Amino acid sequence: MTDRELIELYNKRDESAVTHTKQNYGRLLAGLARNFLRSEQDVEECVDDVLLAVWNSIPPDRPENFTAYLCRIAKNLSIKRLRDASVQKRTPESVVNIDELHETLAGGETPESGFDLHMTAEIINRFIGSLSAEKRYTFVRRYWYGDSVKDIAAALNAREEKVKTALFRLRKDLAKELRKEGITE
Amino acid sequence: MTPEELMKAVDLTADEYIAEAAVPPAKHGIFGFNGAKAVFAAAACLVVFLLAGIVLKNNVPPTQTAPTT
Repeated sequence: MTDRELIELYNKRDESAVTHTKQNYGRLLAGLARNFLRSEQDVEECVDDVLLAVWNSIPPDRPENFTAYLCRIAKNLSIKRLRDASVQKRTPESVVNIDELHETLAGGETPESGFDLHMTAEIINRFIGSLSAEKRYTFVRRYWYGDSVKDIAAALNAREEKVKTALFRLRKDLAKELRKEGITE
Repeated sequence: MTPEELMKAVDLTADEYIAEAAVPPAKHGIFGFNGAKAVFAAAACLVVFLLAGIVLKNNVPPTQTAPTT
């Protein structure tokens, strides 16, 4: 079943849309939630929340890219659960990943004009678009999905050292790009 | 730029890249090797093949010809 057909089921309020979504995307959504939440129960509940959120939002939403639409909802709900949790045994990998990226970029100071979110996002997207498929996968999985180095290496059938080296170089290249565009000084 | 600002910027990664990264990229080339790796692998196979040929040639006794009377 294509995504377009799936969205049509939602529009027709056919409940099999939820079943099909869980079958097609359940694993992806659980994997993403697991990067933010530690308890399997939380992960399962989060996936159920995503399915309910999608059921309630389509219609009127008409997502152009259903995969990205689901992933964004899953990430937002996971982060919300993370913030609502009163006790976390250890910092989730996803937070560590952003800190790792920030450390590389923090060498540059923000100019006096301040932080421009959309300009920065545009530069990051342009940077991601310039990468090879494998490097793009590595960057997005690490810093958007919040995957561990081990998970990325397993998916690419590569050694962890290779992934670590690739991430190091990607961070350096992004830092250079942001300095070149005047986002950092 | 604070980590929170950076996180917001990364969050605005384009939908097409998020969807693409849902699945690992396909390996191209021969048995997952491409470019320089494929050339190196092919060269290594050729060397092994040639060495095997030389070893076999040295070890196989020459064919005996029928004695002429």
